[in-house]
Amino acid sequence: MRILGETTDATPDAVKGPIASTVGQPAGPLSDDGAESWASDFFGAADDGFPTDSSELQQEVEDSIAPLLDPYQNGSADLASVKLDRAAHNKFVQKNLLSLPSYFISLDASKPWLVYWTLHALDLLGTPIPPDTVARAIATLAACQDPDGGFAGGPGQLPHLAPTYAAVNALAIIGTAEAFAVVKRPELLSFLLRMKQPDGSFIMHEGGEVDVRGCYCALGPAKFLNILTPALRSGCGAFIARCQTHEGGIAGVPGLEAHGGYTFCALAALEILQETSRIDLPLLAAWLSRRQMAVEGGFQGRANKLVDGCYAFWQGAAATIVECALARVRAEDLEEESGKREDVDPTDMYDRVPLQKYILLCCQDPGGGLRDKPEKGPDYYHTCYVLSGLSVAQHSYTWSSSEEDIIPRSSAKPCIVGAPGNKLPVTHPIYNVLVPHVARICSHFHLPYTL
Amino acid sequence: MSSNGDNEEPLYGERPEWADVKPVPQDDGPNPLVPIAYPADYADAMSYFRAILATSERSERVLELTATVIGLNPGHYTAWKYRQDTVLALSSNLHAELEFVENMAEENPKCYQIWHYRQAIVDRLGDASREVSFVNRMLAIDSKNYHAWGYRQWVVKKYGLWDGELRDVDRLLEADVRNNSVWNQRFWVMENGPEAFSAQKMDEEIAYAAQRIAQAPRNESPWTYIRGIVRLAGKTLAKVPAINDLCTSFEAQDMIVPHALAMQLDMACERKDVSTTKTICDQLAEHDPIRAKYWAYRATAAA
Repeated sequence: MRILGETTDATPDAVKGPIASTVGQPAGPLSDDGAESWASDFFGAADDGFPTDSSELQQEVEDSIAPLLDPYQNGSADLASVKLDRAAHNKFVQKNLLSLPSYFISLDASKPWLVYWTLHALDLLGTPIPPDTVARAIATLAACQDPDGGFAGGPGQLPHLAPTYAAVNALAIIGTAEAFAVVKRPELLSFLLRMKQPDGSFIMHEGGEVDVRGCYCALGPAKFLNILTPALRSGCGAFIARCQTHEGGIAGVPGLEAHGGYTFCALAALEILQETSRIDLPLLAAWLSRRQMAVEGGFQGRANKLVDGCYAFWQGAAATIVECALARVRAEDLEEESGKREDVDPTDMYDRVPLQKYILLCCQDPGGGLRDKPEKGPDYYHTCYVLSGLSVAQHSYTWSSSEEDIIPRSSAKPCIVGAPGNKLPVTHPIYNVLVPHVARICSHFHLPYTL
Repeated sequence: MSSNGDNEEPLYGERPEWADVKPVPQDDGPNPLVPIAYPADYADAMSYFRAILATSERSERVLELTATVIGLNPGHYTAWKYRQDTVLALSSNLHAELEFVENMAEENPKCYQIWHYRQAIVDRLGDASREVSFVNRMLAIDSKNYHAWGYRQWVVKKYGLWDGELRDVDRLLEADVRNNSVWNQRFWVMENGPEAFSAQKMDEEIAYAAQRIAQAPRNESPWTYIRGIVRLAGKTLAKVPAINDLCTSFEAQDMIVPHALAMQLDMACERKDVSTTKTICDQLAEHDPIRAKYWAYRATAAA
């Protein structure tokens, strides 16, 4: 599912990316070495002798990944030698950048997303972005900007919050004065305010739908560009809080089912607003912890749905933000008791090791690129978000009251599964660009444009 | 596709009725990144669509043009919006639009625009009499379709179509008791439906969920439902004897059900019973090891 990037359902299972071809990974028979019993006690795995569509689909996934995971669970293969195939992924990302095949017309209204997914993936892989690619990216994003503010999915289309978010993130990654000069700040603010609704939500575009993605896609760029005005903030936190469901996770709109993609958007937006206290964080933490799959190690997006590599980021980053927010609450409680303010280290709430195993062993396509699960083909969206999820799983973060931001925890050793060379640079769990890019764009725009 | 497929319409550039329009080709600039090698039919239709956007033409032929663009790229939100504005400006037959959307939806059930468009048309039409059966047809294709559920909630609430909701929920849970979207819908009806939620209703719903837990105890959805229902009633878990009975029934059968343990953990937390809390967290860490870190956190948080 693609949650951010228009079209789909993050299922959001949703659009599985533009790529139609799938690399068939035959669903092999379950090996008889005990993989089944390994899982049978736990949440989710067993069908209790009462099979339904959900449990049968789940069983198919477990069967199909068993041959990939088992050798590393039973010790017959050496996990320490498992590599992230940077060269192959790098090639996958770069090979069609100057001419995408015709089936990409399904993403013709998502051009800034294509730019962001590819630049961020290269950044995470440690590939310096070639100067020609940078120049082309800037030109392409500039062509998508609406004269009255905001970025559209393509030249001449209506400005839309999702490509606006993608475009500003892509410009933050490029990080040059030329890139920053693209953005028409006053017009962008005016566009964001035009999308704002009386209940604090945002429509995605003129005449478009409302959901909680809109809050994140408006507030993220506004924070970067220093246009997060009281009028823009007002009511957002209250709207987002109405989207938390009885399950604990957060839905796209009030009443719907808790969902990983929307949960991330909602929580990241609340963190930008510094209003996480509006939701029930322990209830959310419990829901997030239940999204990690017992057998696969990766995350699902909703209860009783299938694992998908992209949720390594959506759920993993949401868990990171919750961990940091709960640590902040703890620090405030301690301050009340002792009168002394000291930051508290967050506690891990999910298991980073099986998540990384799922990514490395099940989400790498042998031909390059990353994917949802073994029977799916790779695409730019999954390459971007699976790698982002890997970065978040490798690194530890903490709330810093002096920087008023979630920052990498310098005292903690990274948790690297497989070869030591698998270590990725640190992505920011709120904005999802590398941490240094956040400081760079914020400092560039530190003066309000009105001055 | 050099021209179009065998049974397709001719390109717009070849149609006499479009001869008065000067097509506007896509301008990706001199040095684009991620340019798409557009197929001829899409490039052709988009060139005419851009020309129409520039002149703000509202006409029947615009409906055909937007249908072509949307048919090739259902995520083209600008074309959807332009079609919507045109339909309303021309006072077109809105029932025909519903048919158009239904055909699109079957092919692209997870496209945001399709659902939003249908909502706009029904809103204007003021007639939602066929909408629940439309959603049921879509749920028959994918019973967890997020957009379908969202649209269903909008229609049911706006037009007061509550009568069949619990019947459909029962039918869908009968088909797959693990369908979490359906459990969510049941909760939504309890919270928003016309019938006031009462303590008696809470007891009935706990019994309903408990029956389905008996079918498949490791199914998370009814467990979460019970927590939600108790909260909706303004009660706490530990004060509802039926929940304790449900959890302990598995002990009697010598079955370890992590969801039951997690429920008992929450009850121990409500009672501020720290030692039981820790014991249960240890059990959970053993029997639900993927969440061992979370259970360890719960043990610390209770101290």
